[in-house]
Amino acid sequence: MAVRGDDAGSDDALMARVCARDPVAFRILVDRHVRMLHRIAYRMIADPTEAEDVAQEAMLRLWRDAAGWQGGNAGTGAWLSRVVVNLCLDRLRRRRFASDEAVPERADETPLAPEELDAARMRSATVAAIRALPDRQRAAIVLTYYEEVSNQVAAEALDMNLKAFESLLLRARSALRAALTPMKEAAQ
Amino acid sequence: MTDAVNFTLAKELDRFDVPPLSTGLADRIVAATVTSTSAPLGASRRDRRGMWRRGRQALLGTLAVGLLSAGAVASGFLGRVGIEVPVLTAMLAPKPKPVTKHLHVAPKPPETRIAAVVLPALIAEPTPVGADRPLPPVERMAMRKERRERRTAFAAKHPVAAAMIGARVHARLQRRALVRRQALMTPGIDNALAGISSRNFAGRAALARAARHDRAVSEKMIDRRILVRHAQGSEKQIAADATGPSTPSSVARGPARRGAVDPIALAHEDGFSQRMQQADPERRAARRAHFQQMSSGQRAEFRDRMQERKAMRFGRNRQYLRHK
Repeated sequence: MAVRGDDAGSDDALMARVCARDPVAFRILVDRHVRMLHRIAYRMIADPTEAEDVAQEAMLRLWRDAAGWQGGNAGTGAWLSRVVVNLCLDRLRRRRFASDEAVPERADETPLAPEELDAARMRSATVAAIRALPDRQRAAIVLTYYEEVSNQVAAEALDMNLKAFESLLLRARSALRAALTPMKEAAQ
Repeated sequence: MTDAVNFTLAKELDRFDVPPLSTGLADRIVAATVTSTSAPLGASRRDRRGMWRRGRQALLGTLAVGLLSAGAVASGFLGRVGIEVPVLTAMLAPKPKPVTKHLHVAPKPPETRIAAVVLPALIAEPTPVGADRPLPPVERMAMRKERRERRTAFAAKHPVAAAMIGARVHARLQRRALVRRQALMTPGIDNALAGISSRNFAGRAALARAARHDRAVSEKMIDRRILVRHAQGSEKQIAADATGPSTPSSVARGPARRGAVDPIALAHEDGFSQRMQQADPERRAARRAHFQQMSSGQRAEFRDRMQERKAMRFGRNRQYLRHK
């Protein structure tokens, strides 16, 4: 089935086709959303392979639950980001139960110039600061800052009301600022 | 969202870049959908787990509501609000406590009380009287006298039992009197009990006060009338003494009319009322004080005597009316 016009490319139209088991429509949705899902997952769990797994699982859930899709809501992007955040939180929780150790960073084997070395050090410090945040605070930062999702949508993705989410976001920013300021001073 | 985070923090956060997606991820995802069923999905698809979950939730909800309402009924909360749960209210309603003796119970008439407590078996069947007609005073007095005689005879025969019964009756009467007094004194009594209301008590107290006042006023008026009569009597006496031999007086007039069954003369036959009406105020006051100092038994005897006199007078009046 070919996609014609703006209406045909809308989320609801594509989901109707997915419900009829149209792989082309599903492919369009995958191309539209998988990068965003991967970014969220990677920033949440800091593992590219696992982030791809999470993105794939979220897309497959969309395929599986297409029959229950109700049009006119926030759209597939919001639904998928919510699924991805919840999957990441589940994995982080399971990982915490399985092992107390921190997930090892993937070692970069390429030789580094001094500038690259500094940049890598700064990046790892930022990653460490974000990873040190509690899971929900990290999700709040990832959704609102990196994905530029509105507070309302992010609150819905985390099953929170708006006030509670804003409070969570404020705490996350304060914690990040407190963690990143000494690092910056040391670098200078 | 970037505006909210300040510039330096944004700069730091931007260092957290994301590696590119591995090639072929989208293809892998679409391929994974092909391995699962490719048949079109039905509009409504319910899995059994969901149904069981919903059923369990409904069951738990029903149980919770039942427990809550049972607790509310047991604690009496719904009763205060005015809601009745059909079965639970009847099951869990607190059973009414037996009314204790210190509560305000309407007192029974004294005759019935004494008869029921003191001489349950000794009292003979009452004289058959029409239910709608009260007993005439003569018969009532005769019954009361008979009952007193029976009681005296019983006390002579069984002194210990009579003393015990008397003590019990006395204690009960004291208790009731105390309860009644407390009810009169206490403003916050339970008005729902036995039809007693504080307004009745207040009304009764007002009536008692008014009666006392009326009695005092009437006593004063009687005293004044007696004084006037005495003054008139002394004037007449002086006039009679001045005119010489006496004319036929009231004393001589009385017996002359007696043959014709004069009700007033009959009523004054015993002379008590007459004596009291002709007595001077000091004597009347002394008489009143003497009556007030009497014991309850003596008062009862006095009252009985007065009742007997009244009954006799009543009988004679009827006789007079028949003659007429």
